[in-house]
Amino acid sequence: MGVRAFIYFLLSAVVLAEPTQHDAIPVLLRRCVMCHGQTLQDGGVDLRTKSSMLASKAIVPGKPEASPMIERILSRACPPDKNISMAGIERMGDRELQTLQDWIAAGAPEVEQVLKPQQVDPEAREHWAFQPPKRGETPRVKAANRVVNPVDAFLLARLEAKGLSYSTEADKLTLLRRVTFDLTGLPPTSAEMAAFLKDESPTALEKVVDRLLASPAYGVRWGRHWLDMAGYSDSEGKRNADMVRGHAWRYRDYVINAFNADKPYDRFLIEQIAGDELVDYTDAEAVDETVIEKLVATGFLRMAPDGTSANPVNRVEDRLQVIDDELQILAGGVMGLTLKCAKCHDHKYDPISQRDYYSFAAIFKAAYDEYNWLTPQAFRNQWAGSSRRHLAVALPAERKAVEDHNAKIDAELKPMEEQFKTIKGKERGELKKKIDALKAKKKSLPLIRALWDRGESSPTYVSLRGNPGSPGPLVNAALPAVFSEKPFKPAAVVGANKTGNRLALAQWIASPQHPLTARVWVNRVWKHHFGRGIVSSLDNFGKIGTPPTHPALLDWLARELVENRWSTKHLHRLICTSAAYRQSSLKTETAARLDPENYLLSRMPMRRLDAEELHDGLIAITGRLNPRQGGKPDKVQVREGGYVTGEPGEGGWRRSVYIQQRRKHMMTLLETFDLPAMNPNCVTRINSTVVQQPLFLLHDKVVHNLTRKLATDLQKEAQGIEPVVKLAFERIVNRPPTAAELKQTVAAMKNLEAEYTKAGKDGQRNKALAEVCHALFNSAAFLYID
Amino acid sequence: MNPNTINRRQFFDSVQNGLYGAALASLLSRDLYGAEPHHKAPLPMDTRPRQPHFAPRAKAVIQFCMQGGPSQVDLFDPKPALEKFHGADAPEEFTKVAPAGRSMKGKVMRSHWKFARHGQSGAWVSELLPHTAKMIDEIAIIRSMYNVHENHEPACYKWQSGEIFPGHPTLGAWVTYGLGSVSQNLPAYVVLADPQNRLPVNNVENWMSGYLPPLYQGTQIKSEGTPMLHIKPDYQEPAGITAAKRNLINALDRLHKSSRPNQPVLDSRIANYQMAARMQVEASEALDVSSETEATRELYGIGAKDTDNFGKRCLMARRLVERGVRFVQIYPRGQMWDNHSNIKTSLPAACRQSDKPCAALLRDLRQRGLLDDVLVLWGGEFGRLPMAQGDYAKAGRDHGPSGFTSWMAGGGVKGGVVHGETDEIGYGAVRDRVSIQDWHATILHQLGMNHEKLTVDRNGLEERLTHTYPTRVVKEIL
Repeated sequence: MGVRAFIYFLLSAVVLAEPTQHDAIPVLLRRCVMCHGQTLQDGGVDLRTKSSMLASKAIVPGKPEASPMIERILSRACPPDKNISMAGIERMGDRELQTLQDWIAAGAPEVEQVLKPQQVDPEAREHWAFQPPKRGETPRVKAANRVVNPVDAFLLARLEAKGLSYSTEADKLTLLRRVTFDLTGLPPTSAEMAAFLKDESPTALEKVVDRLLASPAYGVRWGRHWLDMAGYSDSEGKRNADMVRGHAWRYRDYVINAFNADKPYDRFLIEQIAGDELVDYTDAEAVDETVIEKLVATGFLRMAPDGTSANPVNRVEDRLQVIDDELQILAGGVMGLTLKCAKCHDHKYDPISQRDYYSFAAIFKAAYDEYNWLTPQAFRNQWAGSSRRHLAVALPAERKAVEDHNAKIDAELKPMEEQFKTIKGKERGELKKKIDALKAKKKSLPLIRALWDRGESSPTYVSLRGNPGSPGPLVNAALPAVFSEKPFKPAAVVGANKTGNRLALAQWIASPQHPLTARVWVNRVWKHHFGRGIVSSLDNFGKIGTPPTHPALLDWLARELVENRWSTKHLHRLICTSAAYRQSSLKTETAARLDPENYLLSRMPMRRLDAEELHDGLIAITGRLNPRQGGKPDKVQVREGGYVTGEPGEGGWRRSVYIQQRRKHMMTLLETFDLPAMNPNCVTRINSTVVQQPLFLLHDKVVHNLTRKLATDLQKEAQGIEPVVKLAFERIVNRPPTAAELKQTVAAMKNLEAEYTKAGKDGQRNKALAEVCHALFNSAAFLYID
Repeated sequence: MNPNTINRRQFFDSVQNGLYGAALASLLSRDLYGAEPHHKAPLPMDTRPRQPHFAPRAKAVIQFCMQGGPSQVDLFDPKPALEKFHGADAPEEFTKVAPAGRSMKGKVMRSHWKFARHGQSGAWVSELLPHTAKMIDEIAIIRSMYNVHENHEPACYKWQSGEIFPGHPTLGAWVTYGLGSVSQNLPAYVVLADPQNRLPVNNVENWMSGYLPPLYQGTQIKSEGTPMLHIKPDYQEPAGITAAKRNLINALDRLHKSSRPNQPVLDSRIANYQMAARMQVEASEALDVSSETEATRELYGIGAKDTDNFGKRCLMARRLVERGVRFVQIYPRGQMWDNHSNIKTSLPAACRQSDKPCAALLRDLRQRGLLDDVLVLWGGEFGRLPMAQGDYAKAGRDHGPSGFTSWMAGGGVKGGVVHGETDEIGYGAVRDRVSIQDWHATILHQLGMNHEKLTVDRNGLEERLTHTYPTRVVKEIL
């Protein structure tokens, strides 16, 4: 890429000749502006621009020795020793000081830096994913009788070209189990199974899909997929302490509610990227549900691991790492762009330059400013100039309730505190206890972990080699040149003192003609139904991403999404009622030979239950599921040997997304079955088959106890070995046993009863049945979805 | 039944019939390698021992995964010229030959440490590695390694799997795929990562099986607390119940599988349940280092502040290979070799934690007559630059993929050999350069496998560890 080299050459010709403000200001940003900048202006000094330096008499152009700024640095008065670690800075290096002196000596020249427009390689621009999707013609196929909707036509066309077709249609109960887990993450109930079997109408499946999409469990399941991509976590990560993130759960609830409401995907994105610019939240009296919702949505860009809540790891480099993670979550997860690759050098494969990376980062600067940083949590010895990234914005009624509650306590406290001033001896201690107890009853306003625009920001310089100590050219907010070479225009915002930069970005990302957004989303939805995306590299649609197996289908779906008000539920309906989705997972010899990896979807993929389906399925089937949704997460308990269990909250165990999601201590059951550590997020889960899995399911006491409980319940519903075994199959694997399975299981149950009798135990029937249930929970029939 | 002729069908049948003991006995009496030759299709769905392509020199591998990038010019590759250039820009004649794409710039920085010749071979080792230095005659040092990427993630993928992207099987997965494992009671491929879970870059993808069956991926075992959770039931039940229940699971799984042909994952699953049962017997014993003598424990530095963490895992590794585990990876905590700053203190700290245990493992294996059969690997995904990163006072070194050092010992590798050279300042490998593929192929070679023949069919493509890169076995060190 000679183009960039050329640009740098042009710039360096200007820059190296004589220091300008573009050499001096990056030094001041790194070393000085934390005390003399946007938030603090110690001694009335502001060092952000030449004019502010002059106004605060910090420099005397032409006379470095007479400039108070240089004098203070030389005398080591600045930066004050006590502040160095706290402010996340280091003492100025000799070379940096020289730069400042030279600049002042030269008269503090200011030059306007003119960046040439970037030239994007026309060939690279031609890449399919940078062209807007077009709805192509639906192909004609031989097996027209198997085309339920155009999805099938696209798939069958490729299969038929290979001499293949779909496999047979799956039987009804297989289909019901599949679609119920897929859409809600839970198994079907006995009543749902009976109802579906009874419904012989041609639209029976459609009705089931509608029922499932309307169920609140749908949002839990599909919200979880999104939370993987966003890197949702209830802890900060990065450091050994793995501090708990107290308010992240509100974002989790936002996502789940958005899925349940089928919030149009474009709105969903705009709110998460720039919700703060959609509402005015400064007038406390005008705050309503909408304001709260939009602010909570921005939690999306506050999910990355972040260790900056401690002085030693709150350096500019640490902050930049957080920003980099957030940008990559957005660019990779939403646009399939490996933007991160351009942080230190131009992207090696895609037309994204290093300048693009920093211009993109500049869009976010008024919210993520590494030189004016908001820390995730309060901590000891915290820098006076820093504040936290939480907004105490609440509904007026909520706020009033808290204030009234606290006022009452304050009123009670006042005489006690007066008394405390004079009281002595033993009574003093007792009074102190009373006061503290009362104080503990005070409530605080619910906080929102949000991202918000602060109206102004530090300038953004390219960091050569990714090193903020080696500043390159100054860049403005801009979209990557491959998408747009027009100057970046901020959007009109609601409320004052906001740049509108992120909102403009959000509107661009969510625009109907965006080449990537809709494709990336339909691809992700497809992956969660069929096990693999049409593009299997979900977060890389670039040159070295995997090419789409069915490009025309991908585009068709993308247009279908956009033209149906970006409705994700519309996509589910199309996919789940297609003939492709109704196929059996049987892998015939022919299919194994001609389509070994199922790229053509000659069958439904068989898949293992994922971590949450296993956990939630276990507690649902054994009748322990507390369906309460939302709110603070239930805690996890770390036991000996690193065994982590969930603590049931009020009303028993809830679905796993409501268990505290810590990066360090993940519930053992979930971790064993591949719950990912969010570092920073998870694009595609792995699906392992490892020996820890049988060890866990066989040996874990909690699982074992659940089967005892289930056995008791089953025995209330059915008497006799055979009926109760059949019922156990129905409940656990959602189908009746085959004749051979029934025979084996009945024999095993008799054997187990005999063993318990031999061991002199009571309640043999119940215990034997529990063991049968335990065996079923360990069987492939339960753990795999056909 | 002759244990050496038991086939897979019979093996499963015996398990199905609840004859764990019988199957176990027959496997324990097995020779190190079974009679079944390695063949491509169908994929073996178990980790029973298989014949390699030719007579092997090594039968097991222990890999010290020193991820982060140990600094070669401060450990194994002394460069007197660094004194000469100290403080000056790194001469372009060296940096321009960067095989890693872009040349790195910076001021040269001398090493803070002294080097001396050691052993009969007289190989140079830094004073930071006094224990390793004593074992130097067992070690073949490769000073001319290079990687193709300067960032941890891609470089680690390359180092473990031969490609810079995730999704490909790792070295350990290939080895266990090719050879199976002597032990059927322990995982074939064990990963001993930091017990506090400070996992390496790329996390579990360092031991993934990629497109090989999941059976071949590494099993992580913790060296503190309970080594493997749930190794035994945490509830009480009569032994007859356990057996009857397991038989039922097995019977149901077999019925389930028989109506679902061509689904290898169902085979892996069944094999996993069988291994779970056998592992109970052996794993606890294998991982219990408290049964070792005080002298052995001291040798590894167990109980001492700096070395306890790493030493325990080294000793466990010996116990695991003794019991027939094929491939063991040991990871240090986090990124201790990634000395971007303050190398003056951070590199000695890394050495203090690992030098004694690493050397102890070599000595212990030698004393027990195991070193000839066990190939020990040491090294990271890359090394470090001879230049300073940051101001000298607190300088570190940045990633140096163009030339770095790794070593091998045991398993038929010549001791006391120094192979290859970097340039005058240790920036890039210049003579007898060894690529990651060369390194992989050499390891496979010592295990009796030809890297071009150890393949797996994937969509009609013959995939292999060395991919399609030109590759050469480093015969000079064998």
